[in-house]
Amino acid sequence: MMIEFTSRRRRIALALLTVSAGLGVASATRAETVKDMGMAQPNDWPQYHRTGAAWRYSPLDQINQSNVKNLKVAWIAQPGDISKGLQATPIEVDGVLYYIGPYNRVFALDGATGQIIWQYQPKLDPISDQSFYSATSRGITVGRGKVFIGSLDGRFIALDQKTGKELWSRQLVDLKTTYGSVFSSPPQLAGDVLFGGTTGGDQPTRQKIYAVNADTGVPVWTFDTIKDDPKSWPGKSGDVGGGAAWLPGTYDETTDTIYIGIGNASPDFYGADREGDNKYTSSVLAIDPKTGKLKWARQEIPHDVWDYGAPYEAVLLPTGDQKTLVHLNKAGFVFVMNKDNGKLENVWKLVDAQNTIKAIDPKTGELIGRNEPVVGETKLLCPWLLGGRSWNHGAYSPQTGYWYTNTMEACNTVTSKKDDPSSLKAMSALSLGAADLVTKAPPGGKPLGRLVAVDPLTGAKKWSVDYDIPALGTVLATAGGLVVNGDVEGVIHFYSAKSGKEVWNFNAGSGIRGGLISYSVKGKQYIAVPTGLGSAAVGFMASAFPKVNTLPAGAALVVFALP
Amino acid sequence: MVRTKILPVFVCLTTLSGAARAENKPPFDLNDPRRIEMGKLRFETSCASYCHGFDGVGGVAPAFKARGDDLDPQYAFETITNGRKGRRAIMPRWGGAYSPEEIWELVAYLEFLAHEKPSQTN
Repeated sequence: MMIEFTSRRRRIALALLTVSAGLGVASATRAETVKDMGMAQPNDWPQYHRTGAAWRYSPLDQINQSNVKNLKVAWIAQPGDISKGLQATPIEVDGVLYYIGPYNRVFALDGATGQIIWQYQPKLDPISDQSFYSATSRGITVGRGKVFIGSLDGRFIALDQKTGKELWSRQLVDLKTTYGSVFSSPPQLAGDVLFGGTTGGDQPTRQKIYAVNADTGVPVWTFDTIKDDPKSWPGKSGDVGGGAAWLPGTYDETTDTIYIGIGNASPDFYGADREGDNKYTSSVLAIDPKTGKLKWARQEIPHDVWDYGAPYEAVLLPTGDQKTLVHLNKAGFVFVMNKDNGKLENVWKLVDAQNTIKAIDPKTGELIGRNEPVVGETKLLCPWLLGGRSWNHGAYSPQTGYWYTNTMEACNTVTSKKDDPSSLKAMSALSLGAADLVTKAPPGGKPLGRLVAVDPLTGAKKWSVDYDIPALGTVLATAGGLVVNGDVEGVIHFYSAKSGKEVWNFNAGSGIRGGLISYSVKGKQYIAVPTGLGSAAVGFMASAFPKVNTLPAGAALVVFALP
Repeated sequence: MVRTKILPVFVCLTTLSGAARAENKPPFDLNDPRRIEMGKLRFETSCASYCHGFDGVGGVAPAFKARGDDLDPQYAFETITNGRKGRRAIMPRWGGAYSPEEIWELVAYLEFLAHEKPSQTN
């Protein structure tokens, strides 16, 4: 007999069934509020952003401002390959730490000792080496008794969580017809749906979000991020329009909603062939995980011609009516909106170096004073194509109410130009729509990086720390009153979350590009820091920050604990 | 010292594809301005933005501009054709995308850059 569950009952029943079967699902009960969601499973780091609220905040407080100076290295794990560094955020569930290294090599380790439990290396199609994004591995997802990978040859793969044995593999993307678009970020779980997009914001192709059944790998829906609307995309411009969802989305279990940010339009700096708003590029989307239907969309940068995508994290705040979503885009503006309908509540500017958009109306979202590239004319555009921040995520602390994020104060000059089709034959070609593109200092200043603590609703600055070179790691906040941020030279800085005062640091020897986490095993708190500098951004930065070329590469997961 | 200089070339040569081995001599004069211009166009689209910098300066790799005579054209051709695994970055192989002639045009542009004067500012 078939029993029809309501969607909520179905989820709860499924979670209970899975737990009773001993499959180790991340969460047995469904949070009713954003605050509950953000504080769930305090001992673990079960998801990419720890929870669907995307705070990157650990409720653990054993390591605090007073004793942080006593931290020692508990253990170090090395993936054995330093190609493009260690870019992932590890996952920890029930004392087991999972992480992914270059070329999708996955490890399960004892979270207290670092001892390897199992490891897995997918046999990647050699064509993946021709992708611009080869080797890039930004994370894995754990749940439903499985470990999920988005692979560098266009697959979703599920492994047995206990043994690392491959359970299923599903080819979703053809690299040959998508300019080497690969899954560089981990697909995420929304109930029994596994979803994610490919990297390739600058690829002249039509990007999509893919969803499969997490238990079988059978596709359930595909969302075309290029809206089928001639007003948005005249002629066939959408077929090369980009719009990649190249970073992990999040799942709001309080409303059964996926949030996912969408990247820039292509060609990046040449928009003449795509006059229109170019939906849904540079947008944040709310999607029903069961059907793949759009609940709402908020386009932040209509007709982007600066490489200002919006693929970054959607942070849900526990304050007020717990309905607020905060979302940064590469233009360096933060949109504050209602998470249930996308209605705009505020827009504020994160970076100082901004000359492409004079202002954004905080009530309507209208861009005021657009300074666009001009064909054949070299123009200074700020921020540069890496954005006011790269993809390294921020952290939110419910203790202080501050959002902590790295920023970049840097510009580039661009001469807009229609791409020559003969130069777009390579799988790894980028459709930039530029004759030249050169990094520059902001007018009247020097290029730099900054860690800022801000009020996420208003942008009011609470404190900031400048770096000579922008930090590329993801920020961690903890209930011990700490904010942890690694720089590109390999120094891991521990700050007071309230004041920004540096209370301790540790030199790991190679820069930080991955996601820092904290977790607890048998009552002992650990802080794990992926170290090892790499990624495309590092290459682009080198012209503005020549010292980058002298910094050593590496790949090591360094884990700290108190003695 | 000698060993470290020879070894990368040896490794590269031993891993060459048949196509690369057959085409390892330029089919035209590398000083031909038209070929250099074609190579420049291709370089700016495929090589410059994230990795080598426009005008071959400022990327994650050593500068091409004004580097003099140490850029062996055959080595450059083979590296572009087969790709190269670096420390922080990976150069994809371009042999499948561009014809040997198109790759030689890239080499012509790199040789042109190598013998240019250094820029006053970057």
